[in-house]
Amino acid sequence: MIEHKNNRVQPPYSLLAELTHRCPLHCPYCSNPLEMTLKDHELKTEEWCRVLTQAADLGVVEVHFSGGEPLLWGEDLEALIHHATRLEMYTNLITSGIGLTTEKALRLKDAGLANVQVSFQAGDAKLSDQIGGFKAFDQKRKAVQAVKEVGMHLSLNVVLHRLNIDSLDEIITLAEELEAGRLELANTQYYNWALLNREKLLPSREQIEQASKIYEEAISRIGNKMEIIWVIPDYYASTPKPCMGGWGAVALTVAPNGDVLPCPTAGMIEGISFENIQKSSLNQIWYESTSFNAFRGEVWMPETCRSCDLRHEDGGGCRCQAFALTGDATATDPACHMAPEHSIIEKAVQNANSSSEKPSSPVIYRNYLQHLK
Amino acid sequence: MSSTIPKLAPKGRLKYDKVRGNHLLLLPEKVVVLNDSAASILTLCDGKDSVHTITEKLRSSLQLKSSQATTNGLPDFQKMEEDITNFLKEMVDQGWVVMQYDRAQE
Ligand code: SF4
Ligand code: SF4
Repeated sequence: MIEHKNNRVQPPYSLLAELTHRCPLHCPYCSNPLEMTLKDHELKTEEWCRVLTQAADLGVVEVHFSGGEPLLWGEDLEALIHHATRLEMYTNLITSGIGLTTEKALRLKDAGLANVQVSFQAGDAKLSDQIGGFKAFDQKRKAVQAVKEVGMHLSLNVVLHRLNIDSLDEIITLAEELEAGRLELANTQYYNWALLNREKLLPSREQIEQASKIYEEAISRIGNKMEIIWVIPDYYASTPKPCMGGWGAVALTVAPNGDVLPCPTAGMIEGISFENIQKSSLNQIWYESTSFNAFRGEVWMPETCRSCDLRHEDGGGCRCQAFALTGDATATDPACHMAPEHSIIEKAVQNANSSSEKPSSPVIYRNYLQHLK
Repeated sequence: MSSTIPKLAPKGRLKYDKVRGNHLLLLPEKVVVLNDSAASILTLCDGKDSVHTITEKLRSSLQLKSSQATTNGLPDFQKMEEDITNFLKEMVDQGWVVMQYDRAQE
C-alpha cells in the first residue's frame, strides 16, 4: 500500500507521456515550450517502461502518448503501448497523423492501443496546411482511414482560433465524414507559442457567438452519434477554467527529457524547479515534491480567491496563465473578472474586437531547430 | 430486449483498480467509477450472451454468494431482468454499450 504523507492528496488518474518535442508541423499555437528538448536528451524505451510501471503503481489508469509527434520518437512505441496495456492502462495516441500507415496502425492496435486522436488544423486542406505550416492534410486523411480500417476508436482534435473558427461548420462536417467517435474543439490556450501569436489568434466576440450557434446546432443535430466537446474560451468567460481538475490533483505530465510536471505547460513557470524521473520516483514526486505541492489546497491562494466561494470549483484558475500574464504564479488567474490584473485580458479582448487595422507582424510558427534546450 | 446481445463498446475497457479499490470503465478522456453491480453486468457484456442469459448468470452468482439462504432472498427474475435492461439502456444512450440483435433466438 502507498503511504500518503498528505492525506488529502489523491492518486492521479492520467499520465500525459510526451515522447518527443519533434514534430513535422509548425502550429503557431503549439503548447510545447519555446525551448524544446533535444533529441539526445529524450528518454529511451526502458526509461519510459519504468515510468509506466511507476505510474500504474501510483494509480494512473489512462496514458496519453503525445509530443510533438510521438510517431517521430524513433524508439519503440509499440513496446510502450504493450507494456501499458499489460499494466491494464487505457492507451491513447495523440498524433498529427503523419507517419500513421495502415500497417503501423495495425501494429499499434495489436500492441493494445485503444484510441487514436488525430489533430486537424482546419476543415479544408488549404487552411489546414497553412496553419500547420506543412502539407499535412491529405496525410491526415489517410491516417484517419488507417485507424478506421483497423477498427480503432477515432477522436479528432481541432484547436480553434481567429484563423479557423469561422469555418467551424466545415470542421464538424469533416469529422462527420471521417466518422470520428469524438470531436474535441480545443480553444487556443495562450501560453508559449500561442501567447507570442495572441494578437493573430484571439477570436472576436462575434466569432465566438457565431461559433457557439454552430456548435449548438451540431449538438442537437448529431446527438450521441458523435461526441462534440467545446467550451467558451476563458478570455470570454467571466471566471477562469479549473485547470485539469487542479494542480497535482488528477493528472501529470512527463516531458521528453523526463521532467515531471503537473500539466504540459507548467515548465514555463520560473522559480519552481521540477524533478526528473531519472532522479526520483513518480510516487515521490507526486506526493512529496515541492513543485506538486506548490499549489495544492488553498494556502497558496491570494486573498481574492481565498475569500471567494468559487474557489472550490475553479481552484483560482490556471497557474500557468497567472504566471505568463502577470509574472506571478500565485496571482489570481487574470481571466477572472475579479482578478486585480483582469485588465490584461480586457485589453487583449478589446484589441481583438476593435475594427482598426491590426499591425501586420507575421505569425510566428513553432520552430524546433531554433529553440533547443 | 430480453434476447438482444449487449457488448461493451470497442472504445471502452473495464478494469479493477487495485490502488483505489474500485471497478472502472475506461474511455477516451474519461474514467467512470462503477459500483459492484454495474461492474458485474458490464463484465458479462461480451457480445455472446443475451440480456436473458446475463440475468440468469448474475442470479446464480448471487445464489452462490448467499449459499445458505434460500431463493427467497433473491430478487424476482423478471424484476431483475427489467433492472438490468434499464441499466443497459442508459449505457447504450451514453454510447458505452452496443446492442446486437440475436436472430438465433428469434
Ligand atoms: S500543436 Fe502542431 S506543432 Fe505542436 S505538437 Fe501538435 S501538431 Fe506538432
Ligand atoms: S476570485 Fe479566484 S476563486 Fe473566485 S472566481 Fe476568481 S479565480 Fe475563481
